[in-house]
Amino acid sequence: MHPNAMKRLSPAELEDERRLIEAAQEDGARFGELYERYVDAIYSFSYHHTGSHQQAEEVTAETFERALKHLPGYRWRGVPYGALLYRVAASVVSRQRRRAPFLELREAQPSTEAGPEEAWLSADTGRTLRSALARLPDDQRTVLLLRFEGGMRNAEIARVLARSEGAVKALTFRAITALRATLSREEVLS
Amino acid sequence: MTRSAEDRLAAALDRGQVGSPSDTLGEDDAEVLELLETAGYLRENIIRVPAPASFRSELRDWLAQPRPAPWWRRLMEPARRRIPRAARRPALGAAIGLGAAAAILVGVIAIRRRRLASAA
Repeated sequence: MHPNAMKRLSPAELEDERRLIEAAQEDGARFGELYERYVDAIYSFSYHHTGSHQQAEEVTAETFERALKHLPGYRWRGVPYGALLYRVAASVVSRQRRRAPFLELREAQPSTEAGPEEAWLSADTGRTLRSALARLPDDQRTVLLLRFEGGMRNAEIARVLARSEGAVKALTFRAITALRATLSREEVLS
Repeated sequence: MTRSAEDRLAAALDRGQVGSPSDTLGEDDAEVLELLETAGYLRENIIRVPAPASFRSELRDWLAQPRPAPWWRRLMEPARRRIPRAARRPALGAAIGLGAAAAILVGVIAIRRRRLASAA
């Protein structure tokens, strides 16, 4: 698995997460532990979606605020908490984009703190990939990010997006086909 | 039954996700192999962008601020303390709540009708 992918939880880790969620439901201060577990994954997902640190911060903040607000009513279904967070983040991104002109995918913007994305974006590979991803429709980009950045499989992505596995397969196929066309034009792939 | 290219691609990607080779694809499955090459490129080159430290700690502090519970949750607090989590039944609670609301509505309507009748 790619080192950046979200770690797949073992049954013991899932049980640990269930306990942590219940503890956070009883004592809001424990939410910080869930936050620490997932903040980087959600931030990265938001950053790749929006192309800007400022917007990624807004999406991440709203995602965790909503998650905290709805935590008391959260019911454990044996799925990592990250699935819910990705779902909320995807919905925040899509709602923000409908509100235009908030989320217009832009060229990379400089960060106030040096991060790995700066080296990534300064290399041809990062820039090309960034611009190829930016050209995809939202739902196709979401599917690719959940799979290749979030490390999820088809069934998990379907659960996050509340869509059928067939729909996710079709989206993935279309997204990768479009990505290939762009990368071939850029002569990245033969 | 022959699987579609979408199914074959999804299956191969899932296998790749857990580190298994996609060796069930034949050499004639050029379309899917091409897409797998693209997927491999994406997997190898996309990076995780962590939240900047200052934002991360600010958001954590902000989330940790105490927030007043909504009025209905404060109202339910005594029952919540009395009933252990495992024994709580949201569907039952909702049914009781709806029943109580319906009873209040019926009471209000009955009182208004009686007033109207006595006024007439």
